[in-house]
Amino acid sequence: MAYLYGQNSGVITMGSKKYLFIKIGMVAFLAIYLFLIYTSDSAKDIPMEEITSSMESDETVTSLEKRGRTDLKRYYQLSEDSLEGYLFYKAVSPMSVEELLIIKAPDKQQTNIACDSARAHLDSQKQVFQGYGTDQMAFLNEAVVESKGNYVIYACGPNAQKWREKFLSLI
Amino acid sequence: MVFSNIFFIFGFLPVFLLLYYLAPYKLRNLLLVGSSLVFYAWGEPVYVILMIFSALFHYFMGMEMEELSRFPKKIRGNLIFVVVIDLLILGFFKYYGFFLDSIGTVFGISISHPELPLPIGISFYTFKNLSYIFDICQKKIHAQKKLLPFLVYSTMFPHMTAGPIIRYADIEEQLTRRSINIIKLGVGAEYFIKGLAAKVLLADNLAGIYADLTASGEPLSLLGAWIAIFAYTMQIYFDFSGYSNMAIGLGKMLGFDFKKNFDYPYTSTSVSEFWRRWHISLGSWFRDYIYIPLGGNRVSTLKHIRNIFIVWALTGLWHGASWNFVLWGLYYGLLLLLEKFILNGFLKKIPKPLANLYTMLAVMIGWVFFSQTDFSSMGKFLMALIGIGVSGVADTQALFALRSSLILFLIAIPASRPGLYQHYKLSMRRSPWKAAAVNMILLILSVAFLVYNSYTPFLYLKF
Amino acid sequence: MKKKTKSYKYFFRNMGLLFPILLIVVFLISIFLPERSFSEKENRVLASKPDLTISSLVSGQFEKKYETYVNDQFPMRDMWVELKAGTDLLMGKTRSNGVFLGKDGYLLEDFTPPLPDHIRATTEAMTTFAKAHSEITQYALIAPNAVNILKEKLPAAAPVKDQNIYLDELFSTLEQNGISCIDVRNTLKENTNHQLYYHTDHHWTTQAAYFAYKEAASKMDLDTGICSYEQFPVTGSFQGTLSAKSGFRSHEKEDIYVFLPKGDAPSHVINYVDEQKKSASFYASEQLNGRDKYAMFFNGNHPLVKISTPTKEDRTLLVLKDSYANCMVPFLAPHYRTIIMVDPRYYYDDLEELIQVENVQEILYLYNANTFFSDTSLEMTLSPQ
Repeated sequence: MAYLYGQNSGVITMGSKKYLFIKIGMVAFLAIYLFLIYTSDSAKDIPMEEITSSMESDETVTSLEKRGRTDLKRYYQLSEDSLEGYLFYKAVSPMSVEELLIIKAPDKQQTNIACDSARAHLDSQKQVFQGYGTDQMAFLNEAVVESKGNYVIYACGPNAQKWREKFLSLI
Repeated sequence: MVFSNIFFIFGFLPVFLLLYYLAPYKLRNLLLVGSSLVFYAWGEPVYVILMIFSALFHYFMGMEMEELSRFPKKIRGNLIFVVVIDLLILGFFKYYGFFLDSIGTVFGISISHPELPLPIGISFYTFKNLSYIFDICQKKIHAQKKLLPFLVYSTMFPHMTAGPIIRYADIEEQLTRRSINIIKLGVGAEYFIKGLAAKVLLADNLAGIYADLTASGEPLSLLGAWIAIFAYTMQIYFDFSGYSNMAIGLGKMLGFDFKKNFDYPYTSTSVSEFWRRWHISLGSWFRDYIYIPLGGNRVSTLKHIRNIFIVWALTGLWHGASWNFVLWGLYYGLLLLLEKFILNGFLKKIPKPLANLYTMLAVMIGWVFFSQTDFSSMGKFLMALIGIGVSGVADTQALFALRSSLILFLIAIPASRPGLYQHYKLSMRRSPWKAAAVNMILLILSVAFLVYNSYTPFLYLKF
Repeated sequence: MKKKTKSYKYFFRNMGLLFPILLIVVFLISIFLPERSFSEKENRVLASKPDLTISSLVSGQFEKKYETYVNDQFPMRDMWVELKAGTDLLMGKTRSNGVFLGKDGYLLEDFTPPLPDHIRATTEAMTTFAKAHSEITQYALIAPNAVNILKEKLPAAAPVKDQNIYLDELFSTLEQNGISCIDVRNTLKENTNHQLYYHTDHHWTTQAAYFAYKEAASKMDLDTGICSYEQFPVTGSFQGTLSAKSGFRSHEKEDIYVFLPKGDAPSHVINYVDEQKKSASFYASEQLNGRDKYAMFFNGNHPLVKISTPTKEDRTLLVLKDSYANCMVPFLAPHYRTIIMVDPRYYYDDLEELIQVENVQEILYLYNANTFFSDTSLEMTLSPQ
């Protein structure tokens, strides 16, 4: 784009208008970009007890069996003292894949470790049921494994989406 | 991506060099920018957008600045705008937590905020891009009207992640006109290898010594404290100068000549001299764009002192979003003033080794401030250095550390001085194959260490 | 003058040739070399090519995993690691990855004192369990490690914490709560003229286990006269965990001995419950073909193993253990009709139920101090939630 070095006011207006647009555009872009970055991985700092009581008000969760730290270790190789709290419900029958795990980690590193464990658990479940459990495979393929802030959620079963939305709304 | 990494050295680099050397002259810049974006995106898939934004932003602003060159008021307004945006970006990622925490401490409340990961190299590329704008305002350079050469300046991978902070004026010509040949490639290779060896063979191992002594959190002995701070002092030098050498070497391989960033700083005979030899590109950035515009030393003594403190507080703050870094900066500001007004004559008169010893002691104490983020452990460390609160003059920890690091120290000391390198340069001339073999051995040893470690990230990377 | 610059040019030209050639050659080799899935030397699975998905690319996970993959699959990885270890030695390093290079070719694993909370939780679980099962006789044999018994083999000035302090405190707490402690430190110290620990591995030798057995027998009321043993070497090429972990002495090979009963040996049936396999021998000789030859004792570690021996008396022993027990339990086998070995690191079933069903009369905790003091699984198994 041709322009002349400031000779008269006409050029100034032309030149600065173009740059004004550019500036506004860039600042807007920057604001949106920074906002997205800020909100994408942030989560409110809600204590695990609140999340637990809220999720437990849902019968579809409590119809499963509440699990403790031994099972946490057994299925996710996570030790309870590396976390700031967890909620773990799993179906009693080994033939069912219905499962809900929410953990709160103390820092980002632990969050990543827990998220990797959850993904690994999902993979191993898929391997177990591959070939003979079409219903289970369907649920496993739709299963949710996500991390937000320092929380990780694993949800599998007919109510997985509902659980996920409820959980996200809490944080 | 980091230079001291198997994937970079045996994955990215050979492919890139092959393409770059085989590509027609006209495509080189495009290739360079593309590869640099891949290089950066590999390490920061989301923040690469920020880096591109910064480049484009300064490209446009640079052109506008030049157009407004006859309107000083508009230049000023625009300059403030650019600086505000840049500081906003820097502040958003790097200083916002620090800022909120500090305010919280003052008012006795705790403001929670999400922890945002710091984009790699943000302090480096922001300062680099700002230097471009400043130089246009000061009419030292003309704005680059073509996008591609500017992108080369702003995004090229050799100095993207950890400096040196290259001035546009220094490489303007080279952006569009540079040559490559096997000699330059060799020169670059030699720089790269000596930087890599410094980082991987010396710095990382020295870091291990320091970590072994300080990790347990138990009180150090007098000997232990000195070994620890000496190890840290050598580590940070080899780490940072090593990385700068790798950057310079990569630049040479691409046909660029960068100025050196470290000039044997540990041979200095005064703190003033130290800062002319250490992280030269940063020191000169603060000098040219903050110190001199504030008046430098051409103002009243009071204002001069004020300028020094502002510049040094900012230099400290640049290194990290934490008060200990500010303290580190101000410490040097104070020492520089002392030298300027009181000690200068004295330092010139005493024998050089003594002056060097004084400088090294001052520098080592400075590193205590730099390395300890919380003030209580900083205090404990300083006390330990003079024998207060220690577990004894020497304990098994210290003796074991000494025994494990003796040879390392005996290599590190001459490696930080020019004598060794001059010696080696002679052999470069006399027996070129032998010298080349020495280099390749260093490269092979470095690779061995890299394969063994999960990589130890370069200290300054998150700056 | 011209001659001088010319000679520099030769050097730089050489570098300009060698450097890219090396890079490109290694790059090509790494592409065409087939993937290795397992490293014998490091005893771990090597990373394979990660899956490329949009989300893993954007999050940075793919990139990190890919770099790990490149590192793991680097050509001649083992050779590079050895080169590094050798360089370390030249630089005077005597500790690598928590392992000391000691005198007489001994590698000694450093002792990490337990975290106060952890050790308290474990001992509380053990004492509570003891009270709840006061009808069952309980013993604890926590064996010292080489870093304790072979202290004088450590390199000069090695900053090692004293394991004995922690063992003393542990034993006194357990004794006060009804668990009989079998302290084998003295008998081992008296017998250091024998090889008690492997040079390159963190385990004790079968000889040391035998001395420990003799000490245990007096406390557990076992007649050691019913069986006498003869030693046989089953391999001369054992390379242990410590040489792999530290990179020191990576070429040293040593013997493993088994103690076989003289004369008529009672027949045993070993039932690997989880794997649903049965064996007539304590020793899995196929393991001698692999790297981890110590695993030939009971074919490694399992959640639950039952040993049945036709003895006159019907005594049932439950052993809560780590791998040190693997070469010692064969000495206990002739004394008990049933021995149940449980490894809490892998066992997730109901321990109480097991004790009821099997009618356990005696319990033995059989660990080495290093593992015991860093273990959290025992506590979880004893008091599951």
